[in-house]
Amino acid sequence: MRAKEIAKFILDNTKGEAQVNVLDYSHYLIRFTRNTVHQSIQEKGFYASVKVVIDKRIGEASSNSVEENALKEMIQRAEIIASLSPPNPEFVSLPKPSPLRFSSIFVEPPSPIEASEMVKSAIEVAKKKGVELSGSLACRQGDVCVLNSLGIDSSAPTSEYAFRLVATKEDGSGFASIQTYDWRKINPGELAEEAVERALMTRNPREIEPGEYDVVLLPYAVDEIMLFFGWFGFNAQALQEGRSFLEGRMGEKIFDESITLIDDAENAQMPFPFDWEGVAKQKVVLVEKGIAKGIVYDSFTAHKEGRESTGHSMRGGPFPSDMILYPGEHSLEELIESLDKGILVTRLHYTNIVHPKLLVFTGMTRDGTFFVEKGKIKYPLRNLRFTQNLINAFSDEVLIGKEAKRGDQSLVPPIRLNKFNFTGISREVK
Amino acid sequence: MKEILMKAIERALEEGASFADGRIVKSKSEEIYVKNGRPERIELQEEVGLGLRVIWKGALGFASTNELSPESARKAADMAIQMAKGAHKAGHMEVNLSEEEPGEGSFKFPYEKDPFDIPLPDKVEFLLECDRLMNISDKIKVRESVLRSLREEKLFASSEGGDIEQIITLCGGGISATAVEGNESQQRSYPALEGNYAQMGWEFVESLDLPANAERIAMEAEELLQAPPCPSEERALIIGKSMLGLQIHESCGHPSEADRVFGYETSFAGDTFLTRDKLGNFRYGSPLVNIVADATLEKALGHFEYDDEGVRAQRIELVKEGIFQNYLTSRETAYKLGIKSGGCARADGYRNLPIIRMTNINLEPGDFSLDELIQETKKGLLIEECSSWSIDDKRLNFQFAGEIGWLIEDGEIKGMVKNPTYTGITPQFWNSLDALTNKSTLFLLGVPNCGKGEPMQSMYVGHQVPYARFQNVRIGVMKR
Repeated sequence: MRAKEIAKFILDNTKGEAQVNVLDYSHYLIRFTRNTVHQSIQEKGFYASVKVVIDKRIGEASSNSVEENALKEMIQRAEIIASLSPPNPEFVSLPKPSPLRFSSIFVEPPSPIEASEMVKSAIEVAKKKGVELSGSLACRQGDVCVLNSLGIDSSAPTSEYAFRLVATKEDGSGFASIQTYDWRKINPGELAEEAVERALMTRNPREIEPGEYDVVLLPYAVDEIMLFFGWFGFNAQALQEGRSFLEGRMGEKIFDESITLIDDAENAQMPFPFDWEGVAKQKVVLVEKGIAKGIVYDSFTAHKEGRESTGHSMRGGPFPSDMILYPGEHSLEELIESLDKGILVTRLHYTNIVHPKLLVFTGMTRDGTFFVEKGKIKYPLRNLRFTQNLINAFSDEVLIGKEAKRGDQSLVPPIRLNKFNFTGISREVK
Repeated sequence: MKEILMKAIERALEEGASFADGRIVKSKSEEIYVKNGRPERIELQEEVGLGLRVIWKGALGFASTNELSPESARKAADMAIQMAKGAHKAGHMEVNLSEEEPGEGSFKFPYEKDPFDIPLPDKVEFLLECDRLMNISDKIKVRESVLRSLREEKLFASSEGGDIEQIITLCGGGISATAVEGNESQQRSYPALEGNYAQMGWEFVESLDLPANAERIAMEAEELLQAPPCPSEERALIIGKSMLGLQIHESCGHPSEADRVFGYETSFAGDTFLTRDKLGNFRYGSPLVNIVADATLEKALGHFEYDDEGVRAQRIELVKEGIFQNYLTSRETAYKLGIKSGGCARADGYRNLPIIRMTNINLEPGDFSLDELIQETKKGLLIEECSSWSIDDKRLNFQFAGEIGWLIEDGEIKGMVKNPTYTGITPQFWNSLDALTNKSTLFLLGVPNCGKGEPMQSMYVGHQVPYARFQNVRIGVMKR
């Protein structure tokens, strides 16, 4: 593996305590809109960085060159920065080695022509139904290596494939996507069918008065919510800085007892064995039957509490990137049937935090929003804005679906939440 | 370097491309980030590479490489052709480019003090001083100070004879204090969330005078903990600085991007309500609303001589006296619209395809002083710094929030409120604009990280804004 050879070269040429990260990668991406490909791009790239520690003085530098001279210059820059920097008194040490618990799964990418065939077959499905398909097929693969002077020696190949579709027909739109380490698991026709069917169902949407409605959220929407739990809750940096809603509540019941949430990179369907610091990813129970149990750490936040990293460094701090919301026993149909008067939401769009500590967030529904009455989908809705306190939403009764799907940051099933607060409608211009 | 770039272009033409253009981009960026009295991250990033765009049988392909040699240039050209062939096989969109005069020349944008020449210890100490000044009480849990500098050297060439070299330097920074007590947390930033940036040297950082504002923002963050919440009602809304900059960015800049009109972003960030039938006749805002895209505005982040397709920088009226006039365009979208390109195609580094990006999207000023505007407002809310933003996939329904709100009663500021939010529908909101402040109040916001496209590209863009007043705005949209 070239990544490891270069990482070793960098470490061997660096004085004192140091961490080296190398990513040797090749990506390509096909984007299409309204049944035609408009963007077809490839990137062959390389990234190397070194973090040098001299008496708690830390300097970092990076380069995208594989040339030895350029890499030596990068090391020199990091050493100069470290020598000129004031010490970070809270820094204890880089992490020490720990055995990796599992391996990544790497699947060679399809050729660009094979990838084009996948796109084409998805588009064919849409065309047959008179629907326009837009989307992207991203194929990312590379070799990752992290070494440090204390013995961390972690390297693994990685592959990641994402196929996202938005089907449109008149004023209807439907979404479907898949994220996987193995492109052969992608069934373009099946995924296109899902998006197309949703697009056909959402034509002629009606308006509904904003207010509180019980909702069923598909996994696409639940996955987005997990991002907020991760950034503003279950990471040690947020807790240590007093910004987490979990402050003073560890061990307490924070959510409905139906909620068990863990971070488990081995079993979240995108296995990758180590973090930015090369530390083995550990399984961490975040919430067990509604009770706050744990948070994730990188080495810096762990050392502040005299403990070991859980292997969740994301460079800027720790983050649970492989959350799993334990599935329940309800089929999606049963969740929908449980709604007397509610809303089925396919996905969320442009979400943002409004109040970090109270975990109030806002955003829009998109590509498949439906009014449900007495357990039946009645009609499609115009996209709605919500402004919702997530702690309140998850501490009320939550019904959990049984079929989980891997999203951008989590493996989650559909769920039902009570009294979701819709605060506006996306209206067409008259 | 030029030879390597030409090698790639020539190879693409040999392999059947009808058009090729490419860039070699060398960049150097420095970030110094101090948090709670300690240097959290001090990093220098350098990269160089080549990106090549080709049109083969009407299909577009793009490839990039981090290796600069004749051999890697040849491989990149072959890969770009292969990607175009893949697009062709899948069913491509026929790509045609507007005819433009090939650009030529060498440009280095001026600065007084090179930010990379300022000694590192001085910069770190500067931020540590800001940090100490924000450390006013135990309630200030997070203190953050940051400086960022970027130098980008871009070489552009095309099969049509384009030959352009540009060297851009930008820098800036900011400070932020977060106060926490119980379930309440409040953040104040200066001069804007994540700082402010300009195409200037270290003199821009000096002009920000971060230390002079450090204690004030920390005090305001602490005061906000006890401040009353923003009322939930309709009021006049006065916004300026980064709040108005963001409002323009999200509700005028992005929806004016022509690639959204043609669906290029449908599956990701979304389309636009500004469809082609609205061009030239749609009342986007009140007659006071004049919005321009001005890539010629010096020192602003969206300033350049040529865009990344080799098209000359321009000043374009997007909205004139309230009527929607023009899109932001690239050569590809300009051809579809039957016009010349507006010169708005830029790429993030060497590794990305140029796509339509905002340049400097500016709101023209009016006549009021800020004091006069407040005095003439019976019941209002003033917000200057943004903290949260969200808008739908057609850029219609938005909800934004500021860090601090100031209630206005009978022409006077009566006190601060926390968590000021407001929501609206873009054209209705801009049609409610009834007053603008004058030229002397203009604020130049530099947004260094506007995200767009797949793979996500980050771009530096600018917004020059006065203060604007909007009537009957729904404020206070937050359920605790």
